[in-house]
Amino acid sequence: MVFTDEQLAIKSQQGDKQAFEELIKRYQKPVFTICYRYLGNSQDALDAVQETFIRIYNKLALFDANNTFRPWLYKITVNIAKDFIKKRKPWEELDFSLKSELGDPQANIELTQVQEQIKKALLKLPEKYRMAVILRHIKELEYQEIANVLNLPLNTVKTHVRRGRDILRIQLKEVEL
Amino acid sequence: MNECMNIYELIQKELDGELTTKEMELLDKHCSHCFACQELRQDFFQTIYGLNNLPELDPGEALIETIMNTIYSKSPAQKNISSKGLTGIVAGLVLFCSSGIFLLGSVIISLIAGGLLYLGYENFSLGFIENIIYWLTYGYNLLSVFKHVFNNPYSSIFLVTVLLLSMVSFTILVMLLYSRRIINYEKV
Ligand SMILES: [Zn+2]
Repeated sequence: MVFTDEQLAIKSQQGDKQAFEELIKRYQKPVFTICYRYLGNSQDALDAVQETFIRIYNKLALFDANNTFRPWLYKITVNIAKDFIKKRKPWEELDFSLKSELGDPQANIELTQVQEQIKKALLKLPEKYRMAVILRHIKELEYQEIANVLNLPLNTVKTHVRRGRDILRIQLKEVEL
Repeated sequence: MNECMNIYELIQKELDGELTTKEMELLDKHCSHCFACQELRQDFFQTIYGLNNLPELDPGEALIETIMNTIYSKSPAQKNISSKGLTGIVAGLVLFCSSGIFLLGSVIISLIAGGLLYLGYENFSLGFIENIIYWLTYGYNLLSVFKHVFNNPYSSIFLVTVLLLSMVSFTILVMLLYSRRIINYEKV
Protein backbone atom coordinates (compact mmCIF):
# COMPACT_ATOMS: atom_id res chain seq x y z
CA MET A 1 0.00 0.00 0.00
CA VAL A 2 1.31 3.41 -0.92
CA PHE A 3 0.80 6.17 1.59
CA THR A 4 0.47 9.83 0.75
CA ASP A 5 3.07 12.26 2.06
CA GLU A 6 0.55 13.55 4.54
CA GLN A 7 -0.24 10.08 5.85
CA LEU A 8 3.47 9.41 6.24
CA ALA A 9 3.89 12.69 8.10
CA ILE A 10 1.10 11.80 10.51
CA LYS A 11 2.61 8.34 11.01
CA SER A 12 6.04 9.81 11.73
CA GLN A 13 4.40 12.18 14.15
CA GLN A 14 3.21 9.11 16.04
CA GLY A 15 6.75 7.81 16.20
CA ASP A 16 6.91 5.64 13.07
CA LYS A 17 10.58 5.67 12.08
CA GLN A 18 10.03 3.93 8.76
CA ALA A 19 7.42 6.45 7.73
CA PHE A 20 9.87 9.27 8.28
CA GLU A 21 12.58 7.42 6.42
CA GLU A 22 10.19 7.01 3.50
CA LEU A 23 9.58 10.77 3.48
CA ILE A 24 13.31 11.43 3.34
CA LYS A 25 13.65 8.93 0.50
CA ARG A 26 10.91 10.64 -1.44
CA TYR A 27 12.22 14.14 -1.02
CA GLN A 28 15.97 14.05 -0.52
CA LYS A 29 16.68 14.50 -4.21
CA PRO A 30 14.39 17.47 -4.86
CA VAL A 31 15.47 19.14 -1.62
CA PHE A 32 19.12 18.55 -2.43
CA THR A 33 18.62 19.83 -5.96
CA ILE A 34 17.00 23.05 -4.74
CA CYS A 35 19.76 23.61 -2.18
CA TYR A 36 22.55 22.78 -4.59
CA ARG A 37 21.26 25.02 -7.35
CA TYR A 38 20.73 27.82 -4.88
CA LEU A 39 23.92 27.49 -2.86
CA GLY A 40 26.20 26.28 -5.64
CA ASN A 41 28.21 23.99 -3.44
CA SER A 42 27.56 20.39 -2.52
CA GLN A 43 28.87 20.46 1.03
CA ASP A 44 26.58 23.33 1.94
CA ALA A 45 23.73 21.68 0.07
CA LEU A 46 24.21 18.43 1.99
CA ASP A 47 24.27 20.27 5.29
CA ALA A 48 21.16 22.19 4.30
CA VAL A 49 19.29 19.00 3.39
CA GLN A 50 20.22 17.44 6.67
CA GLU A 51 19.11 20.50 8.57
CA THR A 52 15.87 20.62 6.61
CA PHE A 53 14.82 17.11 7.56
CA ILE A 54 15.89 17.55 11.16
CA ARG A 55 13.82 20.71 11.37
CA ILE A 56 10.90 18.92 9.70
CA TYR A 57 11.18 16.23 12.34
CA ASN A 58 11.31 18.72 15.16
CA LYS A 59 8.28 20.52 13.79
CA LEU A 60 6.23 17.44 13.02
CA ALA A 61 3.97 18.18 15.97
CA LEU A 62 2.81 21.29 14.14
CA PHE A 63 1.76 19.32 11.07
CA ASP A 64 -1.89 18.45 10.94
CA ALA A 65 -4.05 16.56 8.51
CA ASN A 66 -5.23 19.76 6.82
CA ASN A 67 -1.71 20.68 5.70
CA THR A 68 -0.10 19.55 2.51
CA PHE A 69 3.35 18.19 3.04
CA ARG A 70 5.28 19.36 0.00
CA PRO A 71 4.85 23.14 0.28
CA TRP A 72 5.55 22.87 3.98
CA LEU A 73 8.77 20.96 3.31
CA TYR A 74 9.87 23.35 0.58
CA LYS A 75 9.12 26.34 2.77
CA ILE A 76 11.50 25.00 5.39
CA THR A 77 14.06 24.10 2.71
CA VAL A 78 13.97 27.63 1.33
CA ASN A 79 14.34 29.21 4.75
CA ILE A 80 17.30 27.05 5.60
CA ALA A 81 19.00 27.65 2.25
CA LYS A 82 18.54 31.38 2.75
CA ASP A 83 20.03 31.13 6.24
CA PHE A 84 23.08 29.46 4.72
CA ILE A 85 23.58 32.37 2.37
CA LYS A 86 23.16 34.85 5.21
CA LYS A 87 25.71 33.04 7.33
CA ARG A 88 28.31 33.14 4.57
CA LYS A 89 31.23 35.45 4.99
CA PRO A 90 32.41 37.46 2.00
CA TRP A 91 35.58 35.43 1.65
CA GLU A 92 33.56 32.20 1.67
CA GLU A 93 31.41 33.53 -1.14
CA LEU A 94 34.58 33.99 -3.12
CA ASP A 95 35.71 30.51 -2.25
CA PHE A 96 32.42 28.99 -3.40
CA SER A 97 32.37 30.73 -6.71
CA LEU A 98 35.86 29.46 -7.28
CA LYS A 99 34.89 25.94 -6.33
CA SER A 100 31.89 25.91 -8.58
CA GLU A 101 34.04 27.10 -11.44
CA LEU A 102 36.36 24.19 -10.85
CA GLY A 103 33.50 21.78 -10.81
CA ASP A 104 32.04 19.79 -8.00
CA PRO A 105 32.33 16.02 -7.61
CA GLN A 106 28.70 15.77 -6.51
CA ALA A 107 27.45 17.23 -9.73
CA ASN A 108 29.86 15.57 -12.08
CA ILE A 109 27.05 14.47 -14.27
CA GLU A 110 27.59 15.28 -17.92
CA LEU A 111 26.10 18.64 -18.70
CA THR A 112 25.69 20.14 -22.10
CA GLN A 113 27.59 23.34 -22.66
CA VAL A 114 24.41 25.35 -22.40
CA GLN A 115 23.54 23.68 -19.13
CA GLU A 116 27.01 24.33 -17.80
CA GLN A 117 26.50 28.00 -18.63
CA ILE A 118 23.05 28.02 -17.09
CA LYS A 119 24.36 26.48 -13.91
CA LYS A 120 26.90 29.28 -13.57
CA ALA A 121 24.54 32.03 -14.63
CA LEU A 122 21.99 30.83 -12.11
CA LEU A 123 24.45 31.34 -9.29
CA LYS A 124 25.04 34.90 -10.40
CA LEU A 125 21.35 35.79 -10.26
CA PRO A 126 20.19 37.96 -7.38
CA GLU A 127 19.06 35.58 -4.64
CA LYS A 128 15.36 36.37 -4.74
CA TYR A 129 15.20 35.75 -8.47
CA ARG A 130 17.37 32.69 -8.18
CA MET A 131 15.08 30.86 -5.78
CA ALA A 132 11.96 31.79 -7.76
CA VAL A 133 13.52 30.53 -11.00
CA ILE A 134 14.70 27.30 -9.36
CA LEU A 135 11.25 26.53 -8.01
CA ARG A 136 9.51 27.46 -11.25
CA HIS A 137 11.77 25.98 -13.89
CA ILE A 138 13.82 23.33 -12.17
CA LYS A 139 11.24 22.02 -9.73
CA GLU A 140 8.39 23.04 -12.01
CA LEU A 141 6.09 24.26 -9.31
CA GLU A 142 2.98 26.28 -10.11
CA TYR A 143 3.14 30.00 -9.36
CA GLN A 144 0.58 29.65 -6.61
CA GLU A 145 2.63 27.01 -4.83
CA ILE A 146 5.78 29.11 -5.16
CA ALA A 147 3.96 32.10 -3.72
CA ASN A 148 2.94 29.90 -0.84
CA VAL A 149 6.45 28.54 -0.32
CA LEU A 150 8.16 31.92 -0.54
CA ASN A 151 5.45 33.72 1.39
CA LEU A 152 5.13 36.33 -1.34
CA PRO A 153 2.21 37.68 -3.34
CA LEU A 154 1.55 35.84 -6.60
CA ASN A 155 2.41 38.85 -8.74
CA THR A 156 5.71 39.41 -6.99
CA VAL A 157 6.65 35.81 -7.65
CA LYS A 158 5.77 36.15 -11.31
CA THR A 159 7.86 39.29 -11.58
CA HIS A 160 10.82 37.58 -9.91
CA VAL A 161 10.63 34.57 -12.21
CA ARG A 162 10.29 36.72 -15.31
CA ARG A 163 13.15 39.06 -14.40
CA GLY A 164 15.26 36.09 -13.39
CA ARG A 165 14.86 34.21 -16.61
CA ASP A 166 15.34 37.39 -18.59
CA ILE A 167 18.71 37.96 -16.89
CA LEU A 168 19.63 34.32 -17.54
CA ARG A 169 18.73 34.67 -21.21
CA ILE A 170 20.88 37.80 -21.52
CA GLN A 171 23.80 36.17 -19.74
CA LEU A 172 23.66 33.12 -21.97
CA LYS A 173 23.53 35.36 -24.99
CA GLU A 174 26.64 37.18 -23.80
CA VAL A 175 28.51 33.91 -23.41
CA GLU A 176 27.57 32.88 -26.93
CA LEU A 177 28.84 36.10 -28.45
CA MET B 1 9.20 48.84 -32.08
CA ASN B 2 6.29 49.27 -29.75
CA GLU B 3 4.81 46.11 -31.11
CA CYS B 4 7.99 44.25 -30.23
CA MET B 5 7.63 45.36 -26.59
CA ASN B 6 4.24 43.79 -26.65
CA ILE B 7 5.67 40.64 -28.13
CA TYR B 8 8.19 40.42 -25.30
CA GLU B 9 5.26 40.25 -22.89
CA LEU B 10 3.63 37.57 -25.01
CA ILE B 11 6.79 35.48 -25.05
CA GLN B 12 7.02 35.69 -21.27
CA LYS B 13 3.38 34.63 -21.04
CA GLU B 14 4.01 31.81 -23.47
CA LEU B 15 6.72 30.44 -21.20
CA ASP B 16 4.15 30.26 -18.42
CA GLY B 17 1.59 28.65 -20.68
CA GLU B 18 -0.75 31.58 -20.24
CA LEU B 19 -1.36 32.51 -23.88
CA THR B 20 -4.80 32.55 -25.39
CA THR B 21 -5.18 31.16 -28.93
CA LYS B 22 -5.58 34.66 -30.21
CA GLU B 23 -2.36 35.85 -28.57
CA MET B 24 -0.58 32.78 -29.87
CA GLU B 25 -1.63 33.63 -33.41
CA LEU B 26 -0.45 37.20 -32.94
CA LEU B 27 2.91 36.01 -31.64
CA ASP B 28 3.45 33.52 -34.46
CA LYS B 29 2.48 36.07 -37.04
CA HIS B 30 4.84 38.71 -35.64
CA CYS B 31 7.75 36.32 -35.36
CA SER B 32 7.33 35.16 -38.92
CA HIS B 33 8.44 38.59 -40.13
CA CYS B 34 10.39 40.07 -37.17
CA PHE B 35 13.75 38.39 -36.87
CA ALA B 36 14.64 40.07 -33.54
CA CYS B 37 11.58 38.72 -31.78
CA GLN B 38 12.03 35.33 -33.36
CA GLU B 39 15.52 35.19 -31.94
CA LEU B 40 14.35 36.46 -28.56
CA ARG B 41 11.74 33.75 -28.41
CA GLN B 42 14.30 31.13 -29.33
CA ASP B 43 16.76 32.34 -26.70
CA PHE B 44 14.09 32.22 -24.04
CA PHE B 45 13.15 28.70 -25.06
CA GLN B 46 16.73 27.59 -24.97
CA THR B 47 17.18 29.05 -21.49
CA ILE B 48 14.06 27.40 -20.12
CA TYR B 49 14.84 24.14 -21.86
CA GLY B 50 18.29 24.16 -20.30
CA LEU B 51 16.86 24.86 -16.86
CA ASN B 52 14.19 22.17 -17.17
CA ASN B 53 16.76 19.62 -18.15
CA LEU B 54 19.31 20.26 -15.46
CA PRO B 55 19.58 16.84 -13.85
CA GLU B 56 18.03 16.12 -10.49
CA LEU B 57 20.88 15.56 -8.08
CA ASP B 58 21.35 12.69 -5.70
CA PRO B 59 22.79 13.56 -2.30
CA GLY B 60 24.10 10.00 -1.93
CA GLU B 61 23.09 7.02 0.15
CA ALA B 62 24.81 8.02 3.36
CA LEU B 63 22.55 11.00 3.92
CA ILE B 64 19.44 9.13 5.06
CA GLU B 65 21.47 7.20 7.57
CA THR B 66 23.10 10.33 8.91
CA ILE B 67 19.76 12.06 9.28
CA MET B 68 18.04 9.08 10.86
CA ASN B 69 20.93 8.60 13.28
CA THR B 70 20.97 12.25 14.22
CA ILE B 71 17.24 12.22 14.90
CA TYR B 72 16.67 8.87 16.52
CA SER B 73 19.87 8.23 18.42
CA LYS B 74 19.17 11.29 20.50
CA SER B 75 16.46 11.32 23.09
CA PRO B 76 13.32 13.16 21.98
CA ALA B 77 13.81 16.80 21.23
CA GLN B 78 12.07 18.15 24.32
CA LYS B 79 14.04 16.09 26.78
CA ASN B 80 17.15 17.10 24.99
CA ILE B 81 16.46 20.78 25.47
CA SER B 82 15.93 20.46 29.22
CA SER B 83 19.05 18.38 29.67
CA LYS B 84 20.93 20.93 27.65
CA GLY B 85 19.50 23.64 29.88
CA LEU B 86 20.59 21.79 33.01
CA THR B 87 24.09 21.30 31.64
CA GLY B 88 24.14 24.98 30.87
CA ILE B 89 23.15 25.96 34.41
CA VAL B 90 25.70 23.63 36.00
CA ALA B 91 28.41 24.78 33.60
CA GLY B 92 27.48 28.38 34.35
CA LEU B 93 27.71 27.85 38.11
CA VAL B 94 31.05 26.08 37.82
CA LEU B 95 32.36 28.85 35.63
CA PHE B 96 31.01 31.50 37.97
CA CYS B 97 32.66 29.92 41.00
CA SER B 98 35.95 29.20 39.27
CA SER B 99 36.14 32.64 37.80
CA GLY B 100 35.36 33.97 41.28
CA ILE B 101 38.21 31.98 42.78
CA PHE B 102 40.50 33.05 40.00
CA LEU B 103 39.59 36.70 40.28
CA LEU B 104 39.55 36.65 44.07
CA GLY B 105 43.03 35.16 43.93
CA SER B 106 44.28 37.94 41.73
CA VAL B 107 42.58 40.55 43.89
CA ILE B 108 44.21 39.13 47.01
CA ILE B 109 47.60 39.07 45.33
CA SER B 110 47.29 42.65 44.20
CA LEU B 111 46.03 43.61 47.64
CA ILE B 112 49.03 41.94 49.23
CA ALA B 113 51.45 43.61 46.89
CA GLY B 114 49.69 46.96 46.88
CA GLY B 115 49.10 46.90 50.61
CA LEU B 116 52.66 46.00 51.38
CA LEU B 117 53.97 48.74 49.19
CA TYR B 118 51.46 51.18 50.57
CA LEU B 119 52.26 50.43 54.15
CA GLY B 120 55.96 50.37 53.48
CA TYR B 121 56.49 46.78 54.42
CA GLU B 122 59.29 46.41 51.99
CA ASN B 123 62.52 45.79 53.80
CA PHE B 124 65.28 47.51 51.90
CA SER B 125 68.04 45.60 53.59
CA LEU B 126 66.80 42.41 51.94
CA GLY B 127 66.96 41.26 48.31
CA PHE B 128 63.94 40.56 46.16
CA ILE B 129 63.48 36.87 47.01
CA GLU B 130 64.18 37.47 50.68
CA ASN B 131 61.60 40.19 50.61
CA ILE B 132 59.00 37.76 49.35
CA ILE B 133 59.91 35.30 52.07
CA TYR B 134 59.80 38.14 54.53
CA TRP B 135 56.30 39.04 53.35
CA LEU B 136 55.15 35.48 53.59
CA THR B 137 56.65 35.05 57.05
CA TYR B 138 55.13 38.18 58.41
CA GLY B 139 51.92 37.53 56.59
CA TYR B 140 49.87 38.18 59.70
CA ASN B 141 50.61 41.81 59.11
CA LEU B 142 48.43 41.52 56.05
CA LEU B 143 45.46 41.29 58.31
CA SER B 144 45.93 44.95 59.00
CA VAL B 145 45.92 45.62 55.26
CA PHE B 146 42.58 43.89 54.92
CA LYS B 147 41.31 45.66 57.98
CA HIS B 148 42.17 48.95 56.36
CA VAL B 149 40.27 48.00 53.25
CA PHE B 150 37.24 46.49 54.91
CA ASN B 151 36.94 49.09 57.63
CA ASN B 152 36.19 51.57 54.93
CA PRO B 153 32.61 50.82 53.74
CA TYR B 154 33.20 52.50 50.36
CA SER B 155 36.28 50.58 49.48
CA SER B 156 34.76 47.26 50.54
CA ILE B 157 31.56 47.87 48.57
CA PHE B 158 33.68 48.88 45.60
CA LEU B 159 35.80 45.79 45.89
CA VAL B 160 32.83 43.42 46.16
CA THR B 161 31.04 45.10 43.24
CA VAL B 162 34.03 44.94 40.97
CA LEU B 163 34.57 41.33 41.89
CA LEU B 164 30.95 40.33 41.19
CA LEU B 165 30.80 42.26 37.95
CA SER B 166 33.96 40.73 36.63
CA MET B 167 32.76 37.27 37.66
CA VAL B 168 29.49 37.76 35.79
CA SER B 169 31.08 39.19 32.68
CA PHE B 170 33.74 36.54 32.59
CA THR B 171 31.10 33.83 32.87
CA ILE B 172 28.96 35.39 30.15
CA LEU B 173 31.94 35.72 27.87
CA VAL B 174 33.01 32.12 28.25
CA MET B 175 29.45 30.79 27.89
CA LEU B 176 28.96 32.86 24.77
CA LEU B 177 32.05 31.43 23.18
CA TYR B 178 30.97 27.98 24.20
CA SER B 179 27.45 28.27 22.85
CA ARG B 180 28.79 29.57 19.55
CA ARG B 181 30.78 26.42 19.27
CA ILE B 182 27.77 24.25 20.08
CA ILE B 183 25.66 25.91 17.41
CA ASN B 184 28.40 25.50 14.86
CA TYR B 185 28.96 21.87 15.54
CA GLU B 186 25.44 20.56 15.88
CA LYS B 187 23.99 22.70 13.11
CA VAL B 188 20.44 22.53 14.43
ZN1 LIG C 1 9.45 42.16 -33.10
